[in-house]
Amino acid sequence: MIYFLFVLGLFSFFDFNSPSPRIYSLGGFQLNLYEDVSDSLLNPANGIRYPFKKFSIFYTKPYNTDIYISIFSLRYPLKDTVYDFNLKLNAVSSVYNEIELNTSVSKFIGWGLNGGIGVSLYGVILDYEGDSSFTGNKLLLGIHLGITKRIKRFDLSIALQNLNQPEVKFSKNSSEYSKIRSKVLVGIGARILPFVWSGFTIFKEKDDFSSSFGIEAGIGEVVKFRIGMNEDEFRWGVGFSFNKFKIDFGFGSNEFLGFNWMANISYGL
Amino acid sequence: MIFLFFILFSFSFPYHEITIDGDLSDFSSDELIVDDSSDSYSLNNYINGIYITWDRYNLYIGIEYKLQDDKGILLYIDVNPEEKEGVNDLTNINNWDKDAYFQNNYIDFFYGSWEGDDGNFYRVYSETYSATISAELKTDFSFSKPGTEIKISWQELFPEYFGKVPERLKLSFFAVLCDGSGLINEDTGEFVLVTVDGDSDSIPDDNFKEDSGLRDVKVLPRIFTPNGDGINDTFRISFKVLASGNVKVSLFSQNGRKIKDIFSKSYSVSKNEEVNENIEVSLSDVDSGIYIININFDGSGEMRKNVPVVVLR
Repeated sequence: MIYFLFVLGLFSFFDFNSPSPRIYSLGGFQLNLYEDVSDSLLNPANGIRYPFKKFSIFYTKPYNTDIYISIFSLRYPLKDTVYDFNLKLNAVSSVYNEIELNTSVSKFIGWGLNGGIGVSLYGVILDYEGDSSFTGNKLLLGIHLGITKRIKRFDLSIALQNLNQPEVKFSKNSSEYSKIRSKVLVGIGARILPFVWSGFTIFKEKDDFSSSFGIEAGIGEVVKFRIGMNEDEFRWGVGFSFNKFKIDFGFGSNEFLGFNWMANISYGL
Repeated sequence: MIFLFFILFSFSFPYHEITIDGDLSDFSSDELIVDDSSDSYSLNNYINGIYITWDRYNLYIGIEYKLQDDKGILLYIDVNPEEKEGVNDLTNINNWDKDAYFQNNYIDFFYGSWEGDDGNFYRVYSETYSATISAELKTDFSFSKPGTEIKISWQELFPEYFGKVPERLKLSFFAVLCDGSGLINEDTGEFVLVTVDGDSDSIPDDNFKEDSGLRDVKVLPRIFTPNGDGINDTFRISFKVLASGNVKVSLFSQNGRKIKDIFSKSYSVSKNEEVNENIEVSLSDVDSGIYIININFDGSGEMRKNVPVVVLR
């Protein structure tokens, strides 16, 4: 059976890596696409909407730079609760290493609502002896919240992220300083029709908007082809499912930065 | 399917790849680091030049030369000459002992070929001991640019760096002819220095841009702290403009979202001229995180370079 899926992201300026080649190739940020396990980083309420035991590995090397991003994810449903565990490694080769440990819990909370809460612990390890010398580390605490509710054909989602940076200490030539920062990200998404999604976010420190859209065509559940646009960036992707494996690739062509790709492989436990 | 997945994992664009067949014509003219062709044709045994290039995974060396029977050629390589690591006294070395002694250079590797054979590539362990390491080698004197081509992986040269190279790697090269008893001073030069990792990221710099109007792009430091304490508040972008065109520098998030334009300028550059540009940039208005500096040249040829930087607050 061949089907088509149309995806529309209206106001998509939630600016962090979507850990999903599927979402990426469909144009960008969507709170309501929850089939990839690592999407609990985006919306922790996604777990209860896709309650299957799964392990996945995500990898990208953005725009062929020496930035490397890997995410190892495990989803584990237990009774009426779904637990997600994510280990995210974000590194600039030989310069900077960031590790994020994320745990989230998701369950049905009544009144037709699915809820999720997640906690992330970020660690930065610096030992850089290049043109300038940096040594030190920092810890950040992030809190993720998500709520979704389906009303007939409308599927509404709200996700919030709060990133606290309680302490920063770096040293360079014996000079040290510390600073506290906090920012809040809020996102709302709506699935309007069974095969049409839209989403937007509110980010308190940004006031610009962008749009994205995408189309997915599939031959049953075996092969799916995707194309999308995010501002001026054309994106495409493909996904394969066989037995317990699911593999997705996302590609992008940025007018300035050039070619981009990401990949995700998941296995049903 | 899984194979394709892992192919993509290791996907990387080559900078300049050389076919190892003994024909040096696939090196480009700007990869000639030693040009000694002026006196060669008056000599029976001569070295015309040394070509150096590399890609992400391999170092390519071309030695353009010709020699007669009972002669050989040696190429000495000094890794990071300022560090004085290696051996400068090769008068008792177990391979290719030609009483070589170097005043200011400490040899880490050398290549030797006798009477036009493909030769061997050696790592120097001590003043008395060297051993061959794996390299792809080919010598052929039948081409218009005769000589030897060498391909050796960075992993083979620097196994302790797991496929990368030492930070700020520089290599110094010296080629010399020899006979059965020692080095021949008939056609010699000096050590020539090449910077492999100028931006300190332990990855060989991508300097090869055919027909490009932009060279030697550097962004330093890669980590900076725009907090107003006077230390690493700014970073510098430097490059050489070799042709007329427009250079635009922009800041992007690692997701490909454009944050802001940093610099834009049109250059009018005549042939054989180059313009050195050095820009100081402050990003006091962006959050902590990883960003991509995009340097785009639009002129007779188009090129782009993406350099990740880290903002810490």
